[in-house]
Amino acid sequence: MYPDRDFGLQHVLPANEATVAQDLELDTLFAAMAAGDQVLSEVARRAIHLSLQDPDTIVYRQQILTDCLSNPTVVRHLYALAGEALQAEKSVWRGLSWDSPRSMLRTSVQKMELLAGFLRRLREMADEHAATFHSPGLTRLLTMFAQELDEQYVALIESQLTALKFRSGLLLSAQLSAGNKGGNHRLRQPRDQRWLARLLDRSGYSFTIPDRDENGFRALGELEDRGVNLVSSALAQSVHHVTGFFEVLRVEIGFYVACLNLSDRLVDKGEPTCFPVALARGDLALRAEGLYDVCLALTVDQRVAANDISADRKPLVIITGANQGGKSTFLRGVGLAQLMMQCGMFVGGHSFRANVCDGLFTHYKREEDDSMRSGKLDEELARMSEIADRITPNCMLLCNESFAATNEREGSQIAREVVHALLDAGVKVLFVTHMFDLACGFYREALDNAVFLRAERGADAARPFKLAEGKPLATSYGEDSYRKIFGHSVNPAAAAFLDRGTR
Amino acid sequence: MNESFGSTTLRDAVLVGTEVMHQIIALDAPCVFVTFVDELASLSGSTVSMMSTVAADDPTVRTYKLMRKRADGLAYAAAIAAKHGLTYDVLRRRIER
Repeated sequence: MYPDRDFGLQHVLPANEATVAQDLELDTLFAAMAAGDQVLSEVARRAIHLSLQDPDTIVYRQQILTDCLSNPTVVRHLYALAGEALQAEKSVWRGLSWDSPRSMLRTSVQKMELLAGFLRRLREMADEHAATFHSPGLTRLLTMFAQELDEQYVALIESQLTALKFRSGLLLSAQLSAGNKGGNHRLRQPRDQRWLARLLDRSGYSFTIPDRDENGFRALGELEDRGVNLVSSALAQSVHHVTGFFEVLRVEIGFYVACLNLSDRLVDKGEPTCFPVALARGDLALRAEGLYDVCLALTVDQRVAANDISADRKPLVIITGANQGGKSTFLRGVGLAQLMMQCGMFVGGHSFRANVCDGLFTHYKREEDDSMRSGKLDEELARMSEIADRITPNCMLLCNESFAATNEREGSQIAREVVHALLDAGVKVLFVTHMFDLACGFYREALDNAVFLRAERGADAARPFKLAEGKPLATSYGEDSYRKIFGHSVNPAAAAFLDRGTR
Repeated sequence: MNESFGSTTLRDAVLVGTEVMHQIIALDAPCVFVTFVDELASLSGSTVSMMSTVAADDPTVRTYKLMRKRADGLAYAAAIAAKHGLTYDVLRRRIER
């Protein structure tokens, strides 16, 4: 996941994680990436929220993902192998914590034997498939398998494990310590002595515990425990290390398996994907062709509408236009693409190019009515204030019908101040609004750093879900919805009266 | 009705709101309509306009008293925004930090 460090599951996610997930409907994305696998779901969630800020690392992951997309079977196999190894380790009865060093050692030997088998299988896979991968990340991983898990190494592990089963007894050394008691018990490597030689040992320093001497056997057992104590905990630690290795492997490869799962879903639907171009943080850009909302594509059967945007060097995008014309979907599409780009994934569309941002924030009109507690406007303003506490220059803010919980004039006034302050602080803002006063006000300012997109209304009130650059209009074609529901048009005279002088 | 027809432009809200209200007025059915669209408060002789009020000395303090009063277009939203530190100057300082 990173060229220089592990991708842990312990990093703290951004504080606005839940809000962003809700507004961009990320659960749909995570579910598609997980395909029912709990581990993948968690990996996807973390990878998406822990955005990369460095275009080089994004390219690093993109290259790995490219490799994975051309060799999905091998990558899935690798992921499955890591899972099996962890499963196998778990399946060995752990023993109880107060178990003797001897029984702990037995458990560890059993676990390590299983794990060594998986290490060998990893190496064999690496040997077989190394040539098919070209990305620096995967090449490095497979080279590491081939070199560090070579047969000699695995064989050494296995022979040492065999020795630790003490089939031919246990050789201990001890010293006399205070009170002439034995101390400093150590396990010793036996010389390769034949059983016959040992049997014929005539040195005279031996004795036999009689069959029914329980105390004698207990004493012998305690002596053995002291002897294997060190090696037992050392081996337990090794098992822990190797298990940790498989855990990291499962998580890191898991991210790419999750990407494969998503890719499969989109390919099945015939939706295009592309690798985005991530520009450095200061290099303000947002340009896309055929961009669509991946989450919407995952929830409907038909193909979804795609849109273009060209907003390089434009920190403000104001989106207005027809009700149910695709404004929110477009906004979510941009947000998703930004997040997917910044975790090294492909995005939904033909092309996408944008600068990395330090954080993505969302401020959406909430449908649920919290007015029993604080009043809608108050709740909305409190959320914006929370954003202000956390947002920094070079972040990105997506607003969807913000400040609509008051009258248009005052809502526009608040929005105008907030947006101007954010722009001047260096925040990129995309704002979906029905507030003509606001949109038109910005339009009249003739800002050279703003783009105005309008959701189109086709002939016969159709909604092509297409956005085009255009001046904000006073109407969002709400009459269309009225006609659809009520079966007749609004009073044309009233419409003409309202539109006097504006058309 | 609570802020009905709010998710469109003001012009469309006036248009659709007027249309619907005229039908309700024609039915002579009682209707309570909470809205920010002031135009709807003076649609016909049978419309009663009520306004929620704020404390005389502090517009951020809501009295929760509704007064029979002409809609004057003042929602005092800016005062609440200021209370949350969302005016231009304050917001700039908060983000620059």
